[in-house]
Parts: sequence; structure tokens; C-alpha cells
Amino acid sequence: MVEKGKVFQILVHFIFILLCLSCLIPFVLMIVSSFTSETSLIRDGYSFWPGEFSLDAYKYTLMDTGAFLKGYGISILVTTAGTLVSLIITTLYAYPLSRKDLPGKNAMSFFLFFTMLFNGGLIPRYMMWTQSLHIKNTYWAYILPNLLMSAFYVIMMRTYMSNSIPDEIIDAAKVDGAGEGKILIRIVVPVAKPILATLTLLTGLGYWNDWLNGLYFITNDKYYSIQVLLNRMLLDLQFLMSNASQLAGSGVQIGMLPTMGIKMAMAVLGILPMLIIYPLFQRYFVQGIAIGAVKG
Amino acid sequence: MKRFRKVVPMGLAICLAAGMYTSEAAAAEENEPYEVVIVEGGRATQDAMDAVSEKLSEITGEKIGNTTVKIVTVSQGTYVDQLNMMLSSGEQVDLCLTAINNAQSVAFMKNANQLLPMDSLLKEYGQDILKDVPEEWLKAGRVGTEQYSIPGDRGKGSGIGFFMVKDIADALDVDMETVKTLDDVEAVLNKVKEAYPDMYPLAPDVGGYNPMPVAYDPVFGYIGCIPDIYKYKEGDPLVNFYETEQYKDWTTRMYKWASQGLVMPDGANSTVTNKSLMAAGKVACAIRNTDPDPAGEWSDAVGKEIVVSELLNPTLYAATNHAGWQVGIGSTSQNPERAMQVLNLIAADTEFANTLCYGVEGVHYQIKDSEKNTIEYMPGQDGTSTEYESIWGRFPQGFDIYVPLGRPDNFWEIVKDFNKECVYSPAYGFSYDPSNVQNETAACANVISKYDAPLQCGMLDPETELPMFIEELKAAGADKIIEDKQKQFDEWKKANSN
Repeated sequence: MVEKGKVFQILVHFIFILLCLSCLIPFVLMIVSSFTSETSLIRDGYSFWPGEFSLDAYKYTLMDTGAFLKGYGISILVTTAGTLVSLIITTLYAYPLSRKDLPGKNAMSFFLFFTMLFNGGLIPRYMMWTQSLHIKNTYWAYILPNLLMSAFYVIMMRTYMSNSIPDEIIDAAKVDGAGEGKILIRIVVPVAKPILATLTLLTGLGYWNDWLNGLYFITNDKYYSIQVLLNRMLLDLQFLMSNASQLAGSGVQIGMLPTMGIKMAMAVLGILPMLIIYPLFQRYFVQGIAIGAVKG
Repeated sequence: MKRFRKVVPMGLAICLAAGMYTSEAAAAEENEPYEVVIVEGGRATQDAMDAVSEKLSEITGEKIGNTTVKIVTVSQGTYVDQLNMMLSSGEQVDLCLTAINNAQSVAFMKNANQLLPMDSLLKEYGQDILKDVPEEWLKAGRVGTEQYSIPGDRGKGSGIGFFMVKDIADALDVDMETVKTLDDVEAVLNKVKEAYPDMYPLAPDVGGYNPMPVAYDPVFGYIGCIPDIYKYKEGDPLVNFYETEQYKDWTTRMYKWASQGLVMPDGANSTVTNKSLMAAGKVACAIRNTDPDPAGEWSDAVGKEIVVSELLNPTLYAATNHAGWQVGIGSTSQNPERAMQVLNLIAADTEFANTLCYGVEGVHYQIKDSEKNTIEYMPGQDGTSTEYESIWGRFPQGFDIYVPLGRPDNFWEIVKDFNKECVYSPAYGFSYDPSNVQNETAACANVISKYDAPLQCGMLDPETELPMFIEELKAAGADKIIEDKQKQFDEWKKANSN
């Protein structure tokens, strides 16, 4: 019996180590190649130990172009502001829905669900944002469209709240003389910390990784966030690849074609903040999702 | 959604009609103030766009009156998406690039109501364009008999050349003059392999682009193409590029070369240009399309001296895909007359064209030699750090503007000779609208991306894979595309024969 258990243990460990490695190896490769000199990358390809150690890629991305640092700043600003506002809105929507005594609850729920199933489509949305709300080439373009509030997150939070906050606590608070505002801030929010942390991470990740809004709404280079910058380079590369025969004799240049090392360096710098934040939130992450899901 | 698409252009048309009416009434006295928005593909900072717009507006204010210009530069890679979005949402676009790739042909844009017809505007405001741009080129901007778009002034065709690092060619005693056929090339590659075992003799460009040295015209997407312009006889049907004998020969040869170690392995997945591979000393030779002055261009980019031998005879041909990069009037223009006036000014006014193409003097470039009409980057700047990437070659800007940065002093002379030498494809000027067979086109594109580059880079054995490729194309609807294209081609020929 013991033997069997041990074999099973080893097998499971083996499988999980393999899975871990398959996640980690490309990652290590990326970091190592970002520290390898360009010529050695082209000549010898990627390797786990830098053929010729070089900081050129980082020097180029960080020093030569202020665009990168600026993009970094914009991404941080947008992620912070967007996540904060998004969490406030989500909480304010989810908490009332979790209360059984909310009048008009069905209508409010329907209003929420409807947006999950139907939307106006790309072009009408683009028209609304650019021509009625004029967010083109502003920071709002990163914060407002698509990401500000997700119906799915509201439902996640509502489920969590209606499961883990007993009506009795709220009744007790009422008896003690707390108003609705006080109940929300002093009781509901502290109890809902795990789900709040989870949603912070998910929303933050969404904002940090978003490039679609930038693609549609930003043409001014002063407003390029880091992801938009990276994405633009990739798209330029793709364009070059798919239109090679078209470009002959046309005098068309493609600027900003990142070399291999620079691409890797930018990718490393692009995920760095998330790498730092993730472990801090991981504890809540598991807790929040598990409780929200199992008790449903 | 479909209905919506129809309503928007109709609404626009009504607005336009109203706009034309009012502007005509006013034109008699003085121009009302109007800003012409030029949407361009390339790379420019906002500051550079503003500076160039301001300089251009000064000139238009003087020459046209009450007119300003606003440049909107969109990244090349996102250009098509951005332009579609702007046009279908009704955002003002007065002048825009057209025909920049197969999915964006003039015919397609016209049928999607993205472009305005130009004939009457040209007659009234575009005399300089009509004077400067030869009829042969204008054809490429026509759908039916109506002009929708004006092709840019630049090298109009291409050859296919064999490029080699000069040091290596000298060391191996290769006389480039004698390298004319693929057998000659093979001999050279074998020599390279022997003398430089740690180098790849030949490498394709990014994404496995490795053009075969035949003067083929893909006619918007290879399925339904003219396999050899030089051998074309009147009435020859359009055929599937991948079913031709020459494609089979080429892929068989590449497979052989790859198995002999003459070609870089896994070339279809390469994300590095063969110029950078040459610069890193990894690769000795390349086969690639040639522009005017190919050796100069490559030597500049690689940083080593490169020698070139043309593999085609006659050397240069102009196919439908060389007719791209044109400029048209967007359907959301509120004042097409003014847009045409500005377009005409590009042809008529050298200072205006210079500013549009190269930026502001003293900010984005400086005069190198005013006698020779040459310019250079500002001190400390180069092609990658400049704030305004030059965009010559997309407008009827004429050949009297400054010589493009980094090109030889007599570049425009070379271009003119180049254009004279070009053999035009029988389909040159034809513009295909794939919207009838959109599903088939997408399905075929998937199949092509699966097989084409690996076959052309010698990664797959054509003996077994090519029949599968052709079969999958047939299943994806290749025949339907050819039929549709042939029909449009015949109609175009009929319309253009008289």
C-alpha cells in the first residue's frame, strides 16, 4: 500500500515537474536571449547560456528611446487608475445584487446579463467612442472601452458575497445602528477581501496586457502604452512578412523593426511588473476563486 | 450589420451631395476654410506630424487659399484596419493610401464605397497630375473606365536578382556577370558551402519569402495568375500558380538544395531579414526582388558591399502587385474638390511634395548638395531614429523632388531608366475585387500559408506534398476564385480594349 502510494507520488511529481519545465523553459530562454548579443543570436540561435553576454538590447530599449519608459509609465498609470475605478464600480453593482431584499433586482440583473450576450459590434462602438465621446488619442481610450466593467466579474463577486456574507451579520449591523454605507465599507468589503484581491489581479492583468484599445483609438505616439508599442512592432513585422512581394521597388521602408534581442528585452520588461505582483496576490487568488465557485 | 453597412455609405453619399452643393456655391467667391486630412502609412511622431502639417498648410494657404492640411500617420502594420475603421465610421479622410495589398485593391475599395470617383475632379483641378502621370500608370488606378486612385511615382517594376557578399564572391573568384541561371547559382552555392562550412550559402527573407526567378504576375493572390509575363499569349487563361510546372521545378530544386545543405534550414519560420543574416555573417547569398539600384540599397542595409546579378531576361517586369501604393480620395471627404486640389499640388509644387515626403527642412533633413538635389539626415539621426520616416513613391510627387535619403545622386535617373525598361504584364492596371469569393479566398490563404513557404524554402518534398497542397486548394475553392477572377479580368480587358 505504502509502495503504491510512493509510486503514485513520484509519478505525479514527475508529471508536474514536466509541466513546470514546459512553462519555465521558454521563459528562461527569453530572459537569456535578451542578454545575448545580436550577432551571436543570429549566428548561433537561442541558447540557455548567452554565447556573448551583452546588455545592448536593454541599453537600446531604455536609453535610446524615451518612448519605452514613457509607455511603461502610461501602462502603470492606466492599470492603477483603471483597476481602482473598475473595482469600485464592480463592488457597487455586485453588493446590492447579492442582497435578497433589493427591489428591482431582476431588472438590474437582466441589465447586466444583456451586455454579456449582445453588443453593438465593432464599428458602431468605434463611432460611439470616437464621435460622441471623443476619447481618441486620450488616456481615457485605455481605461473606458471594454475593460472598465465586466459583467462576468460582477457575477463572480455577487456569488461570493451572497455565499460568504450571512444576512444575519448585516441584520446585526443594522441593529447596531449602521447605515447602508457603513455596512458596505466596514463589513462587506473586509469580508470580501479574497474576491476583491482576485478581481484586482484579473482586472489589473487585463489593463496591463491590453493592446486592442490602443490599436483602435491611439494614433498619437505620445500616448503609446508599452503593450501598444510592442504590438505595433509585431504588426509591422507581420506586414513585412505578408507583403514582401508588394514592397519591391516601392521605396517603402519599415521602421522600428525590432531585432531579436530587443524583442526579447522588451518582452521581459513588459511582463516584469506582473511578475512582481503575482506572488503577492496568489494566496487570495486561489481562495477567492475556490470559494466563489464551490459554494455556488 | 449588413444592412448597416449599406445605410452608412448611403447616408454619406447624401451628406456628400449636400457638401458638394454648398461648396460649389461658395467656390465662386472665396474658398471656405477647410482642412484636408491625409491618412498615411509609416512612422512619425505626433510632433513631426504637427510640424509637417503646419508647413504644408502654409503652402496650401498660399496656393489654394483657406486650406489647411492635417497628416495622420498610421503604423504600416495596422494601416488597413485603421483606415477601414475610419472610413466606415464616417471619420473624415480626404486623401488616403490605396491598393497597399491584395485585400485592399482599388476595385475592392471602390465596391466597398470607400473611394470617390475622380474623373470630373481630375479634369477640373488635376491638370498637373494628368500631365505628369503617364497613361500606362494611371490605368492601375481605374475601375471600369473611372479613375479612383492615382499611382505613385517610383520604380514601377522589379527584377529578380542573386545577391552576394562581395568579399566572399571575390575570395571564391565568382564572376557575377556569368551567374545567369539557377544552375550557375547552384555552382556558386556549392563553392560557398565548401569554403565556408559554418555559413549558410542561401537564406530566404522574413517568413520564408524566396521568389523564384520567373517573371510571374500573381494577379492579386497567386490563385489565378499569369505564370510568365514574357511567354504570355493573348487569350491565355489565368491559372493556379501552384499547379504550374515552374513552381514544381522551383520547389524540387529548393528541396534538393536544402538536402545538400545549401539553404538555411527552417527558413519558412525565419523572422530575421536576409539582410540582417548577411550582416551577422551567417549567410552569403540571397535571391530577392531587385529595386532600382539594388546593390547600393543592399550594401547600405547590410553594411558590407553586396554584388548583384539579375536572373531574368529581359531583366525587369511590372506586374499587378507593383501597381500598388497609390493615393485616392476617401468617401468621407467633406470636400472632394479641395482634396483633389491638394493632390494636384503634390504633383505641381516641388516644395509641397518635398515637405510631404521628407518632412520639414532643418528639422527632419538638411540639404546636402543643392546642386545635385540631395539631402541627408540631421546630424545624429538615421533611418531608425528619425521622427518622420520618408514616404516618397506613393504620390504623383514627380521625379524632381530631392533624391531619397541614402540613395545615389542620380537615383531619379536610374528610376526613369528602370521604368523605361520594364515589360508590363498583360494584367497591369487590372484590379481585382475578391468580395464574391471571400470565404474561398480566406480558406485558400490558410492552405497557402501552410504549404507555400515551406515548399519554397525546401522544407517539404514536393514529390509528396505538392499534390496534397493542390488538392487542399481545390477543396478550399481555388477553382471558384479563378473563375471569378477570369470573369472580372475579361470584363476589364473588354472595357480597356477600345
